[in-house]
Order: sequence, then structure tokens, then C-alpha cells
Amino acid sequence: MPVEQNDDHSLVTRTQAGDVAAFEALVRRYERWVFSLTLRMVGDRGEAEDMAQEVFLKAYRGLPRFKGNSRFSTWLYAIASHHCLNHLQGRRRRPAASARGSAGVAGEDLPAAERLPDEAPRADDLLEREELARIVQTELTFLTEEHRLILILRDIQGLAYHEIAETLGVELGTVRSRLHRARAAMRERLEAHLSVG
Amino acid sequence: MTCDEAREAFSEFHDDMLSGARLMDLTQHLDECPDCRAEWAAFSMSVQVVSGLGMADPPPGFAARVRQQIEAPPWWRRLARTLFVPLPVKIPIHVVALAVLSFAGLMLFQRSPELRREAEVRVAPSAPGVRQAPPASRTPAPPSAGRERAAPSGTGARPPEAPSKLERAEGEAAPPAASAPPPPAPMPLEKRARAPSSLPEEAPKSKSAAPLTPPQTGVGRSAEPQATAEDLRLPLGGLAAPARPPAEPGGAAEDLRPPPGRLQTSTLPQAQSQGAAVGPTTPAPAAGAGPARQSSVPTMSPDVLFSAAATQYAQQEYDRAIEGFKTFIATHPQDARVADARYLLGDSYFLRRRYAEAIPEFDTLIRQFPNSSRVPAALYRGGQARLSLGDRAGCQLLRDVATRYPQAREAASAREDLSTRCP
Repeated sequence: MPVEQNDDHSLVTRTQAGDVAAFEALVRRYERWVFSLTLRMVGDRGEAEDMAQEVFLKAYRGLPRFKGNSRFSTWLYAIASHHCLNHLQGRRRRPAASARGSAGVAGEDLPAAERLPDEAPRADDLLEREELARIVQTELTFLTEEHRLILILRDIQGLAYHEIAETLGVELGTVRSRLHRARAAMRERLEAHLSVG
Repeated sequence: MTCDEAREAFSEFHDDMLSGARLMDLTQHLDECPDCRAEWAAFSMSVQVVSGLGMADPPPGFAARVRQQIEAPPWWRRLARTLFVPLPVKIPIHVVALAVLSFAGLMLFQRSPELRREAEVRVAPSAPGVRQAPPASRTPAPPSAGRERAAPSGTGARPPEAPSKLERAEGEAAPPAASAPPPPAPMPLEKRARAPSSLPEEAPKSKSAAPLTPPQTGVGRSAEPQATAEDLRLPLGGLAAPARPPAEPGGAAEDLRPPPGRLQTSTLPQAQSQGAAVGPTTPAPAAGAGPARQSSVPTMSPDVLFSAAATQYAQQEYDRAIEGFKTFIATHPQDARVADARYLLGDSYFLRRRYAEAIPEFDTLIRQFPNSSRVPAALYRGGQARLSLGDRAGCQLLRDVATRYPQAREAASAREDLSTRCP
């Protein structure tokens, strides 16, 4: 994750001094990262955009209290991660919204297995295809929120183990074990769609 | 290394986090175990596929929208802008809306007898002349049109002649109006003395012979109305009685309960069933509420009228009970229950703290039905009402109860009141 720490620091300082343009620059720098996280977590672009905006608004309001003890990126990842977890937990308490969220990605309501051809192609061939991306995204939403989050942070967002531990506020050993369980769960879900040979 | 141990290490193996002996054990196990090799291939492919999802680009203009939200004015400013901008348009709209609402409120007030009566009751205690007029000639609170029509001449008007002992005593003992403290302001309905919890619900339903017990009034007993009575007595100087200790639970209700056997709850279902036969859809409780409803009054049977009013009384809807009993008395003056209705009418006024209106009803009952079993209760209540207005003529009435009706239920309460309020 290429992050220009020095630029972050100056932008943060300017934002704390009331420069909204500086914060907009921070948003531009991290919008892709935050939006990807929210999109992979909820699977709906509109909802993901709203969530990403809320993450940045929270960050803007919290910046006056940001002391710089950690990197801005880690601080922002933590806000985004917790916002996603809170959002999904709140949606779970609202059955209608939850049903919409688990219905799939981009309007795909059918289970992934029903959309797959009888003879599944090799993963390398499918990877470029949009359909496999949809399948993976759909199967992601069936994982628990914690497994989904750690899988996205590591395998999609590319965070290192220690960054994940700092972002989630857990021990390194917890990251290892949780990531392994998440990958194993995802491997079981994808088993029906992939052929190894 | 077992298969389970090998598979537990897949994740770290994928991320190149294994080293040393553990890494060598795993690679050796994968070489030797075809099942684990296949499982590793599937695991690795799964991770690879997930990684292939990649990052997603946000919609164009995302950062600008975030900035817009940050720079958006606070909610109160947006609200003010919505309400008042543009000023030349919004202000006239608000003025017109306010005028329409005010007019509607005024019309509602004028056409609603209940609201008017509430307002009149609130105003009445501050008028010093209310207590000056003797009860017989005193006019009730400004009547609504419906009430005037409901009261026929002869029954509603009380003749000023033939003053009873009560009235003479009252006239002699009435203190100057200037020194009289104002009557207490009416309390909110929910703060008034309440009936025993089971009564309002059971009275209309019960078929037992239990007497219909009026809700407990606080006058002279419960804390809140007693405090008001104490306030009234304070300006009388040495005549003020010491504060009475709180009575046992239910004691006040016992004292203020009308004599037993007068109005049986068993009559209510019967009356209601008869009323249902006459006209099941007739809105009996609202019979005397207004001119429009009055037109249907003559068609209603006395049973319906009486039972409806008695039910409202039992349910502490005293304003409606007052209208009901007045309509009953006005339309069926020869009915055998007129004495009961008159007593309950007066008691409804009393429980609404409309003492000035309650007193004439009790006096009329005593005058018209001197042999009624309601007389001791009417005397007692009339005495309490006068004392609550600061009129010590009430003491004479209490003495009458204690001496003329020593066996009556009210006699003990009257004696107690005499000792505390009429020393």
C-alpha cells in the first residue's frame, strides 16, 4: 500500500488547522482503499459509497483528536474497519436491509452455484471474467463479518499482518489464526465453483 | 507432521510466514501426502481468486462530495433557511398559517362546551363574588346553550322561598366575602382523588349487589385536597383546625361513600340491556353534551340515560356525568331515581371541586326529598363543600348529620370533621 507518510502528516496538520482542501487531498489519496473495503464488505456500490463517505466524515470530525501516535493510514483503516463492522451489525438487526445485503452483489440474487456452468473452467481463466468476481463477492458476504474483514484486509487490500493487528486492535497471533479460519471457510465456499487440475 | 497440522499451516505457508523446521516438515508432508497436496492446491487457488477481486474505484467526484458534506451548513442553519428564505415569500405564508390555526383553535374552543367549562372553572375561583351569593339563588357556572335547553323550568330552577335550616345557617355564618380566601383552583383530572382501583372497571360489569361507591375524594382526607382545604382555612385565623393525620388506606373512600343500597351496580347492566333494546346505537353518554345531541334526548329511555350517567360517574368522567344526570333529571323529573341522580350530580360537581355548583344540588335534594336515604350523605357533602369554600355554615350541616342521623355512615366522618374543622 503506497502511502506517502510525509505528505500525510502535512495534510493532516493543515486539515487540523481548518484547511478543508487538505482533507480533500487526503480523501483523494485514500478513497480507493476505503471504497474498496466498504464495497467488498457490503457488496453494493451505492451503500458502499455512502459508507465510505461516512468513514471520511468520521475521520474529519475525529482529526482534531488525532495525535499522530500512529500513521494516519492505520488510523483511517481502523475507522473504516470498525465502521464496516458496526454497519453490518446494525444491518443484521434490521432484517429487511440484511436480506438486501445478503442477496448478492450488483443485483445478482441467484446463488452462485446456480449461475455457474456445469463444467467449471480453471480459476486462472476465470479470474479476468466478471462472473467469477461476482461469485467471489457473493461468497464473501456469506462469511462472518470478522472473517470477511480480515480476508479483505489481507488478500484484497494487501495489509501486512502487523498492520492488520494494529488496525483491528488484536494480537498478531489472533490475526494468524483468524486469517487461517477465514481462508479455510472461503475455500470451502468456493470449492463447488473451482476445479483444480 | 500430521495432515491436520499441515493444513493448519497452509495460511502462513501461503504468506511465506513459515521458516525452519516447520517449513521443512510441511514441504516434506506435501511431497508425501497426495490428499494434502490437493487440498493445498485448492486452498491456494481460493486465496488467489479472492486476491483477484482487487481494489475498486470509487464513483467519480467522490472526494468532492465528501468535501461538500463537510462544508454543508449545520442542520439548524439549513432549517432556518428552509423556513425563512426567501423572506418576502415565507413570512406571509407563516402569518397566514398562524392566522388560520388561531381561527381554528378559537372556533374549536367556542364550539366545545367541555373546553369552555374548563376555562370557566379556572376563572371562577378567582372571582370574589362567587361565594357571596347564597346557594339557593346562586347560579351555576355560566351554562352552555345545551345546558340551558336541557333544564326545563320547574326542575332546574330552584325557588328562592322557603329557605331551609341549612340555608338560614349558611346565611348567618357566611363570612364577609372580602376576607374569604379564593376557592382552590381545579386540579388536573389525573391528580384528583381516585376511586378504589376495581370500582371504575367493575361497576358497569358486576352483577353483585355491591353499592356503587363514588371515587374517593380527597377533601378532608387524602393529602392533596386536604392541603387545599387547609389553605382555605388558614385565613380564618384561630378557626383553622390542626392538620389531620393521614387516614388508613381506604378510609377516606369509606367516609365519602354514599349510603349503601341506593344505587346498585346490578341495576346498571339491566338498565343498559334495556337501553340497548330501545336504541343500541344511541350515544347515551353524550346525551346532554350539546345542542345537536339534545335532539335525540327525548327518544332515550330513562334507564339508558341514568345508567350512562352512572357509568360515567363511576369511571370518574365527572363532566360527562354532570351532563348526563342533568339531562336525566330534566327529562324524567318524576322518575324514582331523581333523588339518586340529584345526589350523584352534586357529588360529581363536588369531586370536580365545583363546590359552588355542588351545594345547590345537595340542598335541592334535601328540600325535595327530605325522606330520601340520600339526605345524610347530601348533608355531609354539602357541609364539606361549604367548608371548602370557607363557609362555616358547613359546620352546622355536619352537626345535623351527627345529631339527626347518628346511625348513618356519614355520622362518624361528620363528627370527626367537626372536631377538626369546626372546633
